[in-house]
Order: sequence, then C-alpha cells, then structure tokens
Amino acid sequence: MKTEQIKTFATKLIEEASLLQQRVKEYYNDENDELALFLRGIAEDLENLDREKLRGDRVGIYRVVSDAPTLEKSELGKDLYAFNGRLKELIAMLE
Amino acid sequence: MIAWGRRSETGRNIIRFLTDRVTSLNDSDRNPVTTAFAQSIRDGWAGLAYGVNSTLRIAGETFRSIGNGDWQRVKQYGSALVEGTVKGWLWGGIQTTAELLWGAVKMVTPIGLFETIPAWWSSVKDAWAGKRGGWDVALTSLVLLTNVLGMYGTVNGVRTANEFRTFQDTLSPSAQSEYITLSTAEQIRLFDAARNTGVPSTAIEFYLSEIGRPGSPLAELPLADALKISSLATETGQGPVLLNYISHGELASQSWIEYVPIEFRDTVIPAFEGEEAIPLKLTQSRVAYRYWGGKSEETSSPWLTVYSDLTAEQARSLLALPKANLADHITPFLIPEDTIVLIGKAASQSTERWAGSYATGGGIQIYVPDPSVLIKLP
Repeated sequence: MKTEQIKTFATKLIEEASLLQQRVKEYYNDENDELALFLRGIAEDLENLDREKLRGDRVGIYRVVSDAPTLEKSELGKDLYAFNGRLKELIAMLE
Repeated sequence: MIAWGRRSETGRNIIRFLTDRVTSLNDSDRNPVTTAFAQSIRDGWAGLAYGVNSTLRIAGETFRSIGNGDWQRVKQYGSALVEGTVKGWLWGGIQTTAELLWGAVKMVTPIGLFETIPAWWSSVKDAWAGKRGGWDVALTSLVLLTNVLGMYGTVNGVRTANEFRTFQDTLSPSAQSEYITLSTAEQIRLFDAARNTGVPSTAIEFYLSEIGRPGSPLAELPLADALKISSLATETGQGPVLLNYISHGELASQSWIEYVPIEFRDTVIPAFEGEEAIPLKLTQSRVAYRYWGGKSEETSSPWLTVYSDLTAEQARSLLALPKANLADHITPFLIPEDTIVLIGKAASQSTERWAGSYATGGGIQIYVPDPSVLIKLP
C-alpha cells in the first residue's frame, strides 16, 4: 500500500518537475539553462526513488533559487520552493 | 474493573507484597546480604550513640570535678576522656575510613570480584535449589554490576589521565610554552573541550597563541566556541579575517540553526561543512563580498563571503557555488551593525547535480538570514 502511494506521489512529482523545467526554460528563454537541466536530473532521481540524491537536490533547489532573488520572488520561484517542500514529503515517506 | 484502595483486594495484595519484601530483606536465611547490611547499619548506629553518650557523660563528670575542685577525679575522668577520644574517636575514625576506602578500592578494581562473584553464584545456586528468592539474585547481581561498572570507570579514568598527561606533547613547542602558563584547572578544561569538540591540534595551537596575545577576542569567548573558531581559522587559513569579524561582533545567544528561516533550515544546514556555523551578531558594520554572474544575481541573496580577491574559478570551487553562478563579478556589501550572520565553512557539493566536481568547498561562507539589510557598496 505504502509502496503504491510512494510511486503515485513520485510520478506526480516527475510530472511537476517536467512542467517546472519547461517554465524555467521559458523564464530564462534558454533551452540549455542549468536549472532546467538540474530539474531533468531531479526527475531521474525521482524515477529511481534515490533518497540520498533527492536530499542533495533539495539543497540545490534552495541554493540555486536563493542565488537569484528575482527568480525567487517570481511565481516560478514560489512554485519551485513548493515543489521542494513536496520533495521533502516524499523523502520522509521513503524513510 | 480493578478496585483500588487499601481495603480492596488489590490494595491488600500490594500491602502484603510490600510487607513480605521488607520482612524478606531482614531475614538472614532468605536475604543474607541485605540482612548483614542492615545489621551493620544498626550496629554502627548503636556504637555511635554509645560513644557519644559515654563521651558526653565523662566530659560532664570531668567539668563537674573541676567545679568541685576534686583534682583526683579530674585526673581520673580527664585521662578516661583523653583515652576515649584518642582510642574511640580518632583510632576508630581512622579504622572506619580505612575500611570505607578499602571497600571503595575493591568495588573499582578486580579485587572486589573475589567477593562479588562467589556471592552472586551462591545466590543463583540457592535460588535454583529453592532456598532463596529472586530478590537475592537481583541484589547480588546489582552488586556485581556495580563492581564491573566501577572497574570500567577506573580503566576509563586511567586512560583519560594518560591522555591528559600526554596532551601537552601533541602541541608545538610554542603552544606548549603557552599551555604551561595555564593553571591545572584551565589545562583540564582545555583538554576536555578539545576532546569534546574533536578539533585538530593545529586549532588548539592557534587558540593558545591567540589567547597569549593581549586583547584577543578569543579570550572572551566560551572555550568550545573559541576552539570552533580556531578550527575554522586554521582550516581555511583566514585567521586574521575571522578574528576581525569576531572582534566586531558577539556570539548570538541561540544555536545557529535557530537563525535560519524555518522553511529553509534543512536545505541551509547541509551547505555548511560538518553542519556547523558560528552565529554572530555584529556590534559594528562589516564589509562582505558576493561572487555572482550568469543566472546568479548581484543583490538580495543571503550568500556572501570574506574573500575579496578570488578568481571566478577559485570562488566557484571554494564556495561550492551552483553551476548557474559563473562568479565573474564581485560586489562588496556592507552588513550593518546588529545584523545576525552565520559564518562557516562551505561544504563540498562536488557530487551534486546542481554543482559539480569543481565545487570542493572549504572556503568561508557567510549566510545572512535577512539579506534585505545588506547595503551594496560602490
């Protein structure tokens, strides 16, 4: 039951990561933006349910977004932080 | 439903159980250890009461004889008083102290095992044979355990004493000369703090050389904090810059984590090596520097540093900056007085997707929990 819940939640987050990746590319108007590439990597970690990698990814989201305060204050920045919060929930479920 | 109260069945059972235990503890057949212990307390108490009573009586007689001018009786009672005091109190006191010390020695060394193991084994055998209850086994087990714990404490104490004795030898000659100027109590405190914080000997040497300097800010700090700062100073090679910050600030009252906005705590903590940082409230404004460029922005970010002269490559490496931060710009910022800053060593992020092998960390980073206070300098 719990495994199913985790998989369902992770799938939702993979979809969310994909959408955020698209929005970041549009925000910066850059197909090869580092944050967008990072989000694609997070989707891989979500597929593998790699808890340790996901922990590092959470640090990265905060580190990258807080390094760019204009992005941080935008809707996209707020959504990235909200996504980070959901990653935390998933990590807690994996423990 | 259980009925409680002393007249209830449960209450009667509890009272019966307790009464039986107390009776059992004073029954030499069932509990020889506790019975002997209780008897020795009773005997000791009776002896003490008798001694006090006799001494007071003879002293009273001596003073009464002095009042009556009966020198014959003064001599008689006086010599009895002296003899009683010397033999009874002094000699008896010495004997009791020696016995107590011997008992303590036995309990913290294997000597005690010659008594505690046979007593325990005897109680176990008697319990198997149904002669004694489980209480005796529990009690003798407790005594045996105390003996073993005492031995462990002795071994630990001897090892610690040895470490303390050789601690000085781990320091450089100049640090040793500072160390020997400390009082023994201060030496023990330093040894203990160094062990607890696990700082390297280079940090202790830095601390010792600093506190030997008049007006050093480290001398004002709690020892554990001073050692942490010394450790950061030696590991980053930025002693003077760090001490400059410390001397223009005071250690904030709470743990550094408490100053990080709650929603970011678990993502900020791993950014510092060893998940450690020093919380400082500035008493004078200080200048700090921000490396930025690429998608990273100049203002309003909480991430700063003390370095003013790094190349982009060095900054990205030492500060473990994200890939998106090209660090090809540097801007000085004034951090105003009363601002809380968190100073620590940047953790390595070399295996993270958002950084890379270049991001080894190890440089001093400053996290300003409220970056809105920062003033950009020209």
